[in-house]
Amino acid sequence: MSSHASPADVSTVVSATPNGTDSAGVAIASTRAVSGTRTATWLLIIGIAELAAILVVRLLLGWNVPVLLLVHAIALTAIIHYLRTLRTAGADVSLPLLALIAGVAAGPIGPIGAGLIAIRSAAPSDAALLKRWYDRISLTTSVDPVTRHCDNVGVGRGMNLTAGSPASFLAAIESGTMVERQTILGIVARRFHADYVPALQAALKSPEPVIRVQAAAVAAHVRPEVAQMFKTAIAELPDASINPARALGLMQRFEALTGSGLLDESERRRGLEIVARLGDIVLSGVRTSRLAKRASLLAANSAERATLEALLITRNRFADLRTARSASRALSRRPAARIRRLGQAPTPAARQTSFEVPA
Amino acid sequence: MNAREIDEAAASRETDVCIIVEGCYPYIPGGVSGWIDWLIRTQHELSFSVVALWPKPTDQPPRYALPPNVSALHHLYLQDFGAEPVRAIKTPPGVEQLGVDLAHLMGQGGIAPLSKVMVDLVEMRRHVSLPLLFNSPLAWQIAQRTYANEMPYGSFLHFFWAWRALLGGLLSTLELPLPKAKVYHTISTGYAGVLAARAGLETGRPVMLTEHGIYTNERRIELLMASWVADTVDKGHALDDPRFDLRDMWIRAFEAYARTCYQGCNEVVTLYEDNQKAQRALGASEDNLRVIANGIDLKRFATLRPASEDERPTVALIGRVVPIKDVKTFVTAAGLLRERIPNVRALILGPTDEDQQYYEECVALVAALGLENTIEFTGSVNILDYLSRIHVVALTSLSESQPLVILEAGAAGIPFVATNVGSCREILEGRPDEVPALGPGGIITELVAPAGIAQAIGDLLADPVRRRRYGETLRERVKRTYTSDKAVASYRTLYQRLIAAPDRPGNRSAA
Repeated sequence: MSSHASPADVSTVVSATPNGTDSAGVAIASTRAVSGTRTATWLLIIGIAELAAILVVRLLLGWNVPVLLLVHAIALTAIIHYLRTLRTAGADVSLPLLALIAGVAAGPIGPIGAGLIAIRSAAPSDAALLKRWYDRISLTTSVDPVTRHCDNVGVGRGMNLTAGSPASFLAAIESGTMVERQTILGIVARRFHADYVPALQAALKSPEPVIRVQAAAVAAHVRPEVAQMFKTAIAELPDASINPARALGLMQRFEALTGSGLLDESERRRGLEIVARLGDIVLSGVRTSRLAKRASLLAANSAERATLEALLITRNRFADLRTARSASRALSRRPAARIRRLGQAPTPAARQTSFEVPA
Repeated sequence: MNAREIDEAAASRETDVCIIVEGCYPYIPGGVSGWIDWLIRTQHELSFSVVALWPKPTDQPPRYALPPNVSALHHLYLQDFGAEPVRAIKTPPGVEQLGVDLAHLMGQGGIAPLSKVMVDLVEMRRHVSLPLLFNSPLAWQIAQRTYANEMPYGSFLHFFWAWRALLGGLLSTLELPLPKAKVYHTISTGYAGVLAARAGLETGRPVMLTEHGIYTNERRIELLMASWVADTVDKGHALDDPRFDLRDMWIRAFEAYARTCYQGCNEVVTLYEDNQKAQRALGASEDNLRVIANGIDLKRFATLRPASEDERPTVALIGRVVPIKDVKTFVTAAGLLRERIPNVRALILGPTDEDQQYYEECVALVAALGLENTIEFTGSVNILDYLSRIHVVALTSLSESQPLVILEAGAAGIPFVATNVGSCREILEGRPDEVPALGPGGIITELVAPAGIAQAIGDLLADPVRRRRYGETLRERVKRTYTSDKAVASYRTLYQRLIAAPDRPGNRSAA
């Protein structure tokens, strides 16, 4: 945060803008870059010319007030003319305006002072500040997230917190409008997550050709990403031993990847082997109905519970399945029971089973 | 650098047809470029000029020698508009109206907004050149106003550069001196479509469009996935957030350009009926829609006989080894197929050098699945040498319009298994209005579905009677509907009618 401008700096810039956004900030930067030096030159010429004229009049005519006023009026007219020229061209007029106001009050000191300010504002010492500020308006990743968030809230481009909960992607893919379906596929492509796979698979089977083709393009686009997720998941597998609770979490992750239809066949087969071995470890923690209850409590979320139930069905452990389901129902009614039981039970999480990653 | 290279002398000589094409002919081989080359050569009694639109000058040598009936090739570079220093200018009258009308043309599109912008520009050019206006603080003011009206939540910086790129391309198409022609024929919507619509307004001559894939859909898919377009508004997972962002702006502009093109065209041609849905949705008039399918020269395949039963069961994928063809799905399907037919052979006939990394991944997959004795990458070959040894041809593509390879296999009497993309279903199963209905000439499968593809191929390989019946059906359908002669005759008739059409004086005066 320290290396960046604070949110207060942004509010200064933003508050100076006509529409509450960063547009005037960009305008100021651009105008400075293009015409800062030219403005300084003109204001200094006008100021110095007026000063020189005053000295000449003083030497030749003494303190002749009408002539001095005439000189002053000519200088102000020159500033006004320059100001109008800039305004017609749509350029920044803030410094000439300052020169005019200061010139009315302070004679030649006004334009000379404004000219010096113009030189200073165009000087390289502003470059670092400008760069930081440009980084912020160009939304580069180098900007601190907190600063970015403040900026987003400030200009109204943050997430709409008053909107309702997002629609189910799967449901929207099947029955949403064309725009909604295309939007979903865009999100799946840009921010892929394994949970989006069912929606993507549904889109691949859509009767609408436009959706089908877009889904296929998305599938091709995310395949390398899924392959990378698979590699990462394998790299994160424990080297030696593993407990049933962790095995269940890992199993759910590998099942999502192998079931995505987006892995190459060789990777998919390897993934299925890993799932089978993890399943053995999970089942080793479900030896009795009492333990089955505990095993259901091991599932950290509904996806893991579903994985566990599917495993019990696949392995014909129907008695355990019934117990696990009743434990799930009890859990959903009395969440506090979970904490108590986990605290009392000789936790299966402590039981370690050796695990070898299939080649 | 000049934003356009146009031979003024050649442009003033009237040709029968001016082809307007974006980003392909004559520099990119295959696909639409090959089709344009075919069209020009087969309409040898007509004279052509070509306007090739490119983002910027290309170093690539032309892949097609211009046929003798092409009198001129003009270039228009979309990204070079206004490559001049920024300069302050006096405000010309009507600049505010021009800003409003440009926003309307880029936001809504249509022939009326295009006409208005063209009238505004005539007035504007009396006072200032468009490149100068484009690089003046006045353009900056127009950008600020447009931003405040349309995208006030988004990042102005990103808006500005996107707006400038879109406007630069648009103004380029509106500044190009038009080659004289009796008919203007654009091969896509987009900027080429806007140029064609402008030509119709300005000259009063007929305009036609032939769309292979739907350009707007292709751009939309590309833009929705693109990482180079920043999401400057955080919409989270909301599907109905009304805040306009950059992606919306790009997509809307291409839709607007398509609307302009469709409204400006007298004839809107496509290769198959499914495409017409999208064309209708963007305002193409029902009366102007027509289908002219691509065709092949049947004579080339007349002597070919289907592979005999004694030969090793062989399936082939004919196409480039690139991700869009989803060759990995074919490889996986071949692995599954081998479990059912152990001596099956799978050929991949097509160049492998276009995407070397993808090719290497495919080879690695073949090795990982132990399919070295099943799958063979042949590289570029003459498919006529192979068709007599192939029992079934498969296409696992993620996207196609009207694949010629199905027609070629059909002409050789080989049944086909294809994913449900483009006009594959129409070719394999026949259009709903086919009389008499011929029945299936192959099997359609889902996309990215190796098991379904393996099942379909296996069913055809295991059932010679069905395979022969499908092959003969496909051959008959190709003969009836998809011959080159038919396509040539359709375009000849269309060109003749449009060339003979009188000028449209109403439109000319509007321009």
